[in-house]
This record gives sequence, C-alpha cells and structure tokens, in this order.
Amino acid sequence: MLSPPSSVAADRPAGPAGESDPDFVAFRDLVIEFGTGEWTVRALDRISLTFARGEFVCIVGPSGCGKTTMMQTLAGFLAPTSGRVEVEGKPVGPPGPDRGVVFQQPALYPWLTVEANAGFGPRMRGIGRAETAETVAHYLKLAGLWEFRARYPYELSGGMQQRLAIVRALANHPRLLLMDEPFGALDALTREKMQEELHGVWRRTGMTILFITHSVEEAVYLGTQVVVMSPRPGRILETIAVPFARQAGDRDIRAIKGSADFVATRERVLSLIWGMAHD
Amino acid sequence: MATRSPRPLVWPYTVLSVATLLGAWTLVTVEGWVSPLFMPTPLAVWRGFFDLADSGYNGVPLGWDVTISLVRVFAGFGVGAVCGSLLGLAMGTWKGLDAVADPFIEFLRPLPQLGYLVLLIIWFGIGETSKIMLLFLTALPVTAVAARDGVRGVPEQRVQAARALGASSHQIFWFVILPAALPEIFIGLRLAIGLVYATLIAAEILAGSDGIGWMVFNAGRFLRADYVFVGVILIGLMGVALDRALVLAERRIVHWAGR
Repeated sequence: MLSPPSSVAADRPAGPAGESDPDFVAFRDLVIEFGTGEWTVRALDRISLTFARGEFVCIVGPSGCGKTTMMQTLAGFLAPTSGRVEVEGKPVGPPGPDRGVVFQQPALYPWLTVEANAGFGPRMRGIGRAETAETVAHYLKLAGLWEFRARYPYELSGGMQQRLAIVRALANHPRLLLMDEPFGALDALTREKMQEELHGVWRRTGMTILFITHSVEEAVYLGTQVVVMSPRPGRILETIAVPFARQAGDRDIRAIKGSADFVATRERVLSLIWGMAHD
Repeated sequence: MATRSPRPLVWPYTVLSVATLLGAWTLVTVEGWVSPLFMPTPLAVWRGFFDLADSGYNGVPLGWDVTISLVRVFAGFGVGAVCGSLLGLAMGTWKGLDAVADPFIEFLRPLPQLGYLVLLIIWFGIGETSKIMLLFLTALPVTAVAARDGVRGVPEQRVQAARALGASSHQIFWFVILPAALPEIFIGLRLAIGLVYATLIAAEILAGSDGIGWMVFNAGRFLRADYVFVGVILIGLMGVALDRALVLAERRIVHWAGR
C-alpha cells in the first residue's frame, strides 16, 4: 500500500482543498472526426462535460465509444475538429507536463534505470538535479519502488512497471492525471491492489484524475463520477455521481465491492451499457 | 524478477568437436591418405605460421598483411557505418529525405560489391582509396536501412509519453528515438561488418598487392597449401574476433534488447 507522508500535501496541484471550480476541466461541444470527405468518421459527437478540481472521473463504455479519443484530446495529442477543451478556462495546447499521461502499456524507457525513468520529466524540463532526486525519491518510496531504483524496467513485474509509469507522471507535479486503461493488462489480483494504491494516491494528493476503463466495477469503485458513453458516434449517455471513492474510514475493497449499494450502482451502469448493445 | 535458469554444461562438447576435427586432419595427412599438396599436416601449418611470422611472405611481413587488412576494414566499416547510421536516423525522422535517398540505398544494397569494384578502380586507381570506398559503400546501405527501420519501429506511445512529460522534439530524438533505435542499429552494424570483411578479402584477391586476402590468393597460385591454410585460419579467426567484439559492445550498450 502507498502510505505517503504528510509532506505530500505540498504536492497538491494548486489551491486549498474544497475550493470550488466546477469548470476546472471543460469539454464544450467537442467534435472529433477522423478522415476526410466520404470517409469521415465521427469519433466524438458534441461532447460536453465539466468537472471540478479534485474529482476522480471514470469514463466507461464499449469499444469505439471514443473514450480514448476524449483523453487524447485533453492530453493534447489530438486537436478538436470543432468545439473546445479547456483546463482552468484556457484551451489546452500541445501535450505538456501539466497533464500527466499513463497508458495501458507502461511505455517506460528500458535503457534507463527505474530512478532515471521516474525522473525523465523533470530532467527534460531542466529541473535541478537535487530537486529531481528529491521528488523522485519521494514518489519511488511511496510506490514501494525505492529499493529497485538501480534496476531496469524489464526487471520489474507488470504491476511494478505500471506503478513506475504513474510515478513518472506524478514527478512532474501535474494539475491533471490522465489514465487510459492503466490496469487493463494486469491480472485480477494485481489490478485490485493497484486500484487500492491509486485510490490512496488520489485521497492524499487531491489530484484531479480522468480515468478510462473497460471495467464498470473499477469505475464505480474508484470514481467520484462515472461517465457512460455510447459508440458510433461517441456520445455521453449519462454521468452518475458515485459515493464510494469518498467514503471515510478504513476502506476494505472487498467489503465495498460486496456491499448492496455498490452492486446496485454497478448493475445500473452495466444495464446502461447493455441497453446500448440491444439497440 | 529476472531469474536465470542454470545453463547446461556445453563447453566440453565444443572442445570435443574441435578436437575430433583436428584428430581427423592429423590422421589423414600424417598417414599420407591425402597428398600434402592438397592438405598439409597440422605441424606443417604450424611451421608455416612461424615461417610467415618470422620472414613474411614474398618480403611482406605477415603482421603487415594482417594490419593493413584490419586498417581497411576499420576505415571502410567505420566511416560507412557512422555515415549509414546517421543517414538512416535522418531518413527515419524526415520522410522527405527518405524519399530522396531511398532509391539509391535500395539499389546499392542488393548490388554485389564486386560488381562495381572495377568502376571504383577506374575512378580511384588500384590504391587504398578504391578499396576503402568499396567497403564504405558496402557498409552504408545496410546500416542506413537498419537505422531507418529502427526509428520507424519506435512505439508511438513512447514518443507520446515523452511529449506529455515535457520533452521537446530535440529531446525526444536524443533521449527516446535514438536509444530506442539502437538495438536495430546494432543489428545493422553486425550485418555490415560481416559483409565488409567478406568484400575486403575478395577485393584484395582481385586488386591487391598486400593484405591477408592477397597473401592467401598468391600462396595458392604457388601451391603453398601450408601458407593458404595459415591465411584461411587467420581470416576466420579475425572474422570471429570482429563479430565477437561487436556482440560484446552490443550486450553492454543495448542490454535491454530483446527483453
């Protein structure tokens, strides 16, 4: 488990907790089309979604619903065909260290040690050695990777590699963390452990997270909001506020996932997705 | 975690196979089953080696022949591989340059080197320039294609991750694309050194007055099978040494390749 020290409070992206900024991230009438002329495919159709700082937004939906496209636009890898994507009221530019990205495949650099992978962002940005080392040490310890700092990524297990990819994104102190099915390639047990750890990071840092997943259960467990999308063209079907991520006290992942409330919410989201399948 | 399974003990078999060959060679030559004109005894080859080492061949010391051959390999391969790899990296990065250079590279690559050696001799004479030029042209296309494919094969997400981490285009090239392409570049280098070496020996035979290839050919014309054996064994050992040196460098530099 990640159990960060109190100093992590310093890592909060900005502003005191609870500061209300309901439009911290805003998708406004976003349309994304691929191809030209006759072959144009509309991947996203007038998407509008806003959420506040500190939210953990999970997007679920069947393949082809455009959830990855949404994330890629927010990350800056894709430009809108029309409409806007804003963070703190400003349109997002090209990819940058303020928006950390974690993919399904960890996309680590095997020629660099664990420590150098974690410090890649600060190093590219010209942050001083001492400061980088301090930040990296902090997050590597948090993720239980400190003793592996001199190893190479190919010497780590899949779960550890993905933790390192998250550490690498966090080392830039991003305002936003964008995760595209980050646990999709992990086995069931590792996946639940990673869910617990990520929840811990989110709770303690107050990070704003956009999380894409195929797993409804994962979305309902982790998210403060679950956005359900439908495919061809990608549209938002419904946004559901979920209480489980903010539940206080000792969290027992099995107890939460087994509770009647959780099962009911999960079934509700699943029936939305099933409804699409039967159209 | 990386765990290594214990490797079975194989070196005794290697030693045994080499010893068997040497034994068979000794048997057929010492017993006189094969004429010494075709195959000298191991002892004659051993003596021939010291002959050549002491007094040289035709007034040319053996050390000189070996050295000049290696100098040619290093000059031709070195310049060709560096230029080829850089060209390939640039071709992989800029599609325009790829379109311009590709037809020449693709024409040159399958072209047998000895096919255009004559042309190089007409242009540059029979001296070192034509030989090194030949080896340069041998190494260039192989290494260029390998480096270009290495750049093209870099997974898109590695680049996207770097952009999202704040790396500039220059930084992405130096810190992501170049290292990611290195395993392919090394494959190109190993292919190139084999080709360069084979081409060199053939070139020395066709147009040489020194070098280990020339020595073997010349000794053959005078039916000095012992000297030919010495030369062939030396050529083989030098080839193995060149390849092993590259493999060692590869293991150290691109330790992650294939993992």
